[in-house]
Order: sequence, then structure tokens, then C-alpha cells
Amino acid sequence: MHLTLSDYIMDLTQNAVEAGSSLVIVDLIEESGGRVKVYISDNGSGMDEETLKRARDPFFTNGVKHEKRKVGLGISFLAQFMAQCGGEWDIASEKGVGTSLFFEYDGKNIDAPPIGNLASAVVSCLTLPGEFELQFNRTLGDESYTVTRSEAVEVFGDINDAEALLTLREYIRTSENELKELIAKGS
Amino acid sequence: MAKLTLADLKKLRDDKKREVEKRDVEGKTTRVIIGMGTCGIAAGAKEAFDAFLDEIDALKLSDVAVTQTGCMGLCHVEPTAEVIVPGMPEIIYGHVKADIAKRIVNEHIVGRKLVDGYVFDKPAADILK
Repeated sequence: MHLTLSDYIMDLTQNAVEAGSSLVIVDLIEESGGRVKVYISDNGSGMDEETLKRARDPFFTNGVKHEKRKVGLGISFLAQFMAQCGGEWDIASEKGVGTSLFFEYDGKNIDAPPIGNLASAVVSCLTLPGEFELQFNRTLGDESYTVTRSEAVEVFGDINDAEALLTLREYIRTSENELKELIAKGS
Repeated sequence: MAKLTLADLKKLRDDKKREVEKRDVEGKTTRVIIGMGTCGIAAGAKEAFDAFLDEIDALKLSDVAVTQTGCMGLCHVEPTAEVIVPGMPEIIYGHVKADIAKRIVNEHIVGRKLVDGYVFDKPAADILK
């Protein structure tokens, strides 16, 4: 199990990127009532029906998906997380088309994990290897902001440079704080 | 909201741009690659990532790239970080908690000495060459 929501987002986004996607879209929505919704979709290799069914099984592996290992627990962790705090989740996939994953839960549930360090989680995901577009859409109440990997590349060139990463992390932290301030003012 | 734009990001970049003398790393970049599989994340890869960035910032180092990768196959010693410093063997460190990440920056990247007790792979290939 992961400690925070940010860790789950990192894990599942890494899966999406690792599937050879050229586009990964992550939506994190916190509704004003406290409901948290996350959508992660990619246009990567996708899974056939049989593999998709078995992806929920922590003891399943096809032995080829991951380059240096034969196991994976990301989806099982998510299932456990949802069971823990009464959430719902689903995954849809089509071979050669991509995979979409969704989960939602009540952020006020006593067993729900905290959001955690979102800025570092998003910046971590931006530095995953490969050429891909990652769009991170964050919504809190009626306010939102978006971070895209292509914008970061346009600004910094090499986004793996530590200086670029520090600036990006600050950018997302600032965006998060602005969201929270706006929500606080409005309420 | 007053949405942050690409222009804001560019301004932030320019504000932070440092005039740092490039360290002589034989014209190459030092790389830190952090394992970000399920195992790495659960063990605290994000904390290691932050610690590396913060220490690189504190020491005003330039020419250091930090990247992520999936599971390196060393789940038992996560968080892991591979450190590639030009002129030194490529090293995979295990159990890289925040304090060890700071030591790696200070002792390995700056001091060019391995951090004893946390090396989990290599440098055999390079030493035996």
C-alpha cells in the first residue's frame, strides 16, 4: 500500500508511460464536497480482455510487460486502497488503443490517504524516460490548472536538468497554493 | 482562476537562473536515476527525489540531471538510485532515504567517493575491466 494519493498517481502514471504511450492524461479532481476523482488515460499498448481481467490479480504477470521484472502490484494496491476507504474504481483497455483507469472516493473518509506531495509526484512523472506528452489537469472545487510536459520541454529544453526540475516543482507548488487560496477566498 | 501560464513559467525560470560556474565534469552531465516502480514509490522514491533536488539546490550544483525509471529489479533495497558521474563507475545505491540521498550528493557527486554500505550493484564491471 502507498502512503498518499500522490504515490498512487505516480505509480499508475508510470504504468501508463511504460505502456509505450505517446499521450498520457491525468485528471485529479477534488470536488467541493470532498469527493476525490482521478482519471488516468493513455494511448499505449493496451490489454486484451483476458489480460485486463487478470491485471486485477496480484499474483498475475505476463512476464513481459516490465523490462527488468516479472511482477507488478500497482493495480492491486489501488484495489486495496479503494476497499479501505469505500471507493470505486474501474479500468478499461483495448489492445493497441490504450487504457483508461478511473477511481473515486470520499476524501473525508477517515481511512482515505492524504493528497501528499503532489508537486514532487507530478515532476517525477514528467522525468520518466521516453518521448511522450503528459497532461496533468488539477481541479479543486471550481478552480483548476494544467501542467503539460510539452510546455515544460518548450521552456527548459532538457527537463531532467535539476535546475529545471526545481523550477517546475516550485511552479506546481505555487499553482496548488493559488488554488487553495482561491477556494479559501470563495468559501 | 488566475491561471499560471507558460509566460509565468518562463519568468520563474529566468528569475531562478543562476550564474554558476560550470563544474568541470569532462563536458558531461552527472545523472541520478531514481527507481520509481511500485516498490520504489512505496519505499519513498519521492522523498529521495526531493532530497536529491534540495541538496543539489543547496550546493548550487549545475549540470546534474535527475530522471526516473521503473523498477530496477532491486525491490528488496528500495528506494534505489543509480548515480552516473563522468569518470567514475556507474553505481546503484539502495536504501536511499533522504539522508542517504544528501550524502550521495555530497560524498559521491561532489567528493567523488562512494557512500559505503549502500552500494548494491557494481562497481565490479568497471573495476575488473
